[in-house]
Amino acid sequence: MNISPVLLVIIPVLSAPLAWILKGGLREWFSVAVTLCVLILSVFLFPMVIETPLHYDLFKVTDNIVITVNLDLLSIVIITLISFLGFLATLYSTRYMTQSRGLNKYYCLLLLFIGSMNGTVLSGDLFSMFLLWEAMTMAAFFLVIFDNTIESIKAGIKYFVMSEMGALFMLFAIIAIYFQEGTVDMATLASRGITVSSNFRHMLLLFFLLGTGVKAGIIPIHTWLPDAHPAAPSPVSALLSGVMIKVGIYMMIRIFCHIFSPVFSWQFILCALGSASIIIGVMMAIKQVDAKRLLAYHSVSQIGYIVLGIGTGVSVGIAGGLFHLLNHAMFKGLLFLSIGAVIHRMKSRNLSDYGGLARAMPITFITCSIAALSISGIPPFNGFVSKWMIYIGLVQRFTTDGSAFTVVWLAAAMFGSALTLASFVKLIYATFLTVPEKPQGVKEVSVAMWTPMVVMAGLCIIFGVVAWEIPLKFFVLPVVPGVSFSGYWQPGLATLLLIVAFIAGGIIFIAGRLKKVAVSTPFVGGEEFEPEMGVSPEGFYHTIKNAEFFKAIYHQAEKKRFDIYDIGKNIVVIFSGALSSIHTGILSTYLLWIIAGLVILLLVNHVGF
Amino acid sequence: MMEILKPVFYLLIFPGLLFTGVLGLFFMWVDRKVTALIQSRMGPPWYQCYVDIGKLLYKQVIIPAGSNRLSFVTAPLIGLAGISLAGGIIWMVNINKSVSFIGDLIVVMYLLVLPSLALIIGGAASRNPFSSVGASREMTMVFAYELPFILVIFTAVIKTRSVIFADIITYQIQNGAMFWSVSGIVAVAVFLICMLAKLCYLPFDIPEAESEIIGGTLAEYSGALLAIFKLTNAMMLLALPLFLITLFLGGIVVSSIKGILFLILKYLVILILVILVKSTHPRLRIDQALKFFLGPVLGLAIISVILTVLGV
Repeated sequence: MNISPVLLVIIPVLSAPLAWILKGGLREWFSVAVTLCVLILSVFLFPMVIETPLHYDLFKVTDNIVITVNLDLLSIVIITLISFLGFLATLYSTRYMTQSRGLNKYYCLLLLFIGSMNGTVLSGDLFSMFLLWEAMTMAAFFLVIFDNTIESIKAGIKYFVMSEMGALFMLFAIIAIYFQEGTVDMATLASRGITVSSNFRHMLLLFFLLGTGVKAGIIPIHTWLPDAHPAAPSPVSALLSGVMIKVGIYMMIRIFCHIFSPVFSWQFILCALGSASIIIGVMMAIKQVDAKRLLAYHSVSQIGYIVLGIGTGVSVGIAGGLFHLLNHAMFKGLLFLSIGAVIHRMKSRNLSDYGGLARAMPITFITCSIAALSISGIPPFNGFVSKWMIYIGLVQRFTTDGSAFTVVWLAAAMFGSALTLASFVKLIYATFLTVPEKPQGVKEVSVAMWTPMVVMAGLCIIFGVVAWEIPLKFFVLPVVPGVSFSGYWQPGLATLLLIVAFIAGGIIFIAGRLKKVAVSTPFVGGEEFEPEMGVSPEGFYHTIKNAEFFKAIYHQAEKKRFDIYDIGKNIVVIFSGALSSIHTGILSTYLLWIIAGLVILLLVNHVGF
Repeated sequence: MMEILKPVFYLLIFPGLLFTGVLGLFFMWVDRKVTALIQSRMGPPWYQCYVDIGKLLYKQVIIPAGSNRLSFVTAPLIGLAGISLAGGIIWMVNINKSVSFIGDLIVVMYLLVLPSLALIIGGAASRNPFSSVGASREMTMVFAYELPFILVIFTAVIKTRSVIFADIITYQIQNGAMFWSVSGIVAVAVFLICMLAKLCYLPFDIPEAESEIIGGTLAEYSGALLAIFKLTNAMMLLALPLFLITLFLGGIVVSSIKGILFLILKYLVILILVILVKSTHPRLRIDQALKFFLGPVLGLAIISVILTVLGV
């Protein structure tokens, strides 16, 4: 029995109390060292798992519930991703969090969070998976409310309530599987197949979809995401968006592609939910002026792409979804860290307070631009390759089933990509390029903060340019067999050609620059140049926001008419309002109720016999 | 070595940057001449556009004070790189079908967004209020025309069940051009309208609008950088109609004299149509344009998709 995979969970969880006890700089570097250990361990396990996937029983709880460790290709890919982002986020935290209080709590929770995520992915049975899933929710909850402001506590509670509602559905499904099938071991279930009746099976799938969908942030159960992401500290947002929602996707793949496979009738629903998430997420993102809220809505939108890829049911589509999962972890993590760097300096999340930072923070500007181009799917960055694979998956699906809906999903995905670009143009413009209202006097963030950013930006480029040679070959295609290389988009050649054309343009520019470049004030028709003459972040999409149709929708969305949490809250309030009107506090009324209750009991008793 | 040099040659000399650029500038002159004739003017001589580019290359480059130089200088290059590659691919798949690869249609659609992105980045980096208004309008226009544009291109995909240029061309050789059906005619009409917006021509030249925001995104550009933007636009003027011909009008045949004549004829018809619309319509306001594209144009695009699905 190879015990080393369990260490992926044991090391961070056991180090967590130590991080609590240690003081000062030692605590930070201890946490970084621990996460580095986890990262190294997962990298070492990688080649081993490629040869032989690990699956063994850890210990028996009862005869039917056995806690098992399952480390196959899919889990090791996700675990490496968690460990990698965990390490970078911890490194980034060492400088980002210096001004916060209660850092012992922070690092302790961070390690617990990473450990429980690793554990969720590592567990081979639904029982331990669920326990660690809940541990992950708890750790994330405390990290979201770490800043201890009213906003963060509200967001945290919203996250917690919604997660737990989903988890309840999932728990019910797990219990049902346990009683129906007599086992909770995922491998056994997958190999034997689920034997329950068709209707019951659909109900179980729905419950699992609710449970995993809340974590993943699928429309319409995504609403915790845009509240929790901005409220959490930036490195935590990077982890939440970068990996925690991916754990939800991981479980979805396990359920829909392994345990309950094949699920043809659900592919349509997954595709529809994915497309809706893409469009609605990005349309909400376009109007945001809170930088992190904007990014959070993009998480909803990008998760839509992943779900759509899985929903195609075609190998290249699933591989594209999985690749997009990795890519999204890279560029969204990077975006949160870059915007985190800006927030660290500007002490504000509002886009209107930024401006002209490209000069003061050049590294952040470049990394953020790379991430923005990647997420918008501009070739040759990584987002393009994975989105392209999803499109091909949809086209393949279309050639087999010929359904017009598939074309709708495809159009939604491609249009969503253009909208993503629109939204990030606004972000980059407002943060880095526009003229600031007042001089800011900020400088670039420290090395510990920009190193993780540069590493991730490099990965965004590498994953795009040599997509087939490195990430797809090692991480994605072994997990999803049946995708061939030939005849596909060759990012390497295309990149070369783009660079050549770019250089050719550069030569035209340099050849034409016979005279020295001059610098002159911008031309404003002879008027005195004022910063407020430019377009503000709120005004950038003024036309779209005020188009009749969108205006009505946005108005309703602002009133939280589409927020399932608020709808639920209102129902509870109405229900409890009706109940509380009975509780008047007047003794005689209570006596009346007691007597009425007694009468009813007696009547029931009388009729019953 | 040859494997790398060959695509580079295709990209830079023929049929990419140089060829498309020179030809595009020529058709830019056709555009100016025909517009002049409509307006009862003489119009410039045939070499005017080349001279313009040469003059711009010679002139001094002025960079607005306090702007981000990196973005300001690289923005035009992004657009040029995108359109060179897109133009090269569109030509090559017609000349030699074996270079077509799975999903090249999608790649071209993405690359055609790069010139707009270049305008937006350049406008945003200019530090000029007019330019930022232009950038905002350009992005709003992309938002407006992109969905109908994607949908009408998909009518070709639905018909052939493939996203490979070679398949679409072969289909048209076997079954006649896509244009000869109700859905095809509607699709071409929508494509032409979206093309006007992509080329930033009247009535959709809202992001540039010389008379109100003094050229918008291009307000601060001068010298060689402006020349690159002009060149990009000229290449768009050639590449977009070719894209339309490839998808809906039977593709490009260059192996025979008859094919080349037909190609020129098709191209000129499209060009003259565009010029006629351009020189007879006033500019729309941005909100009118948004309403127009997300209303009637999108409606037509959806009708075209539905008709294609029904097989009409």
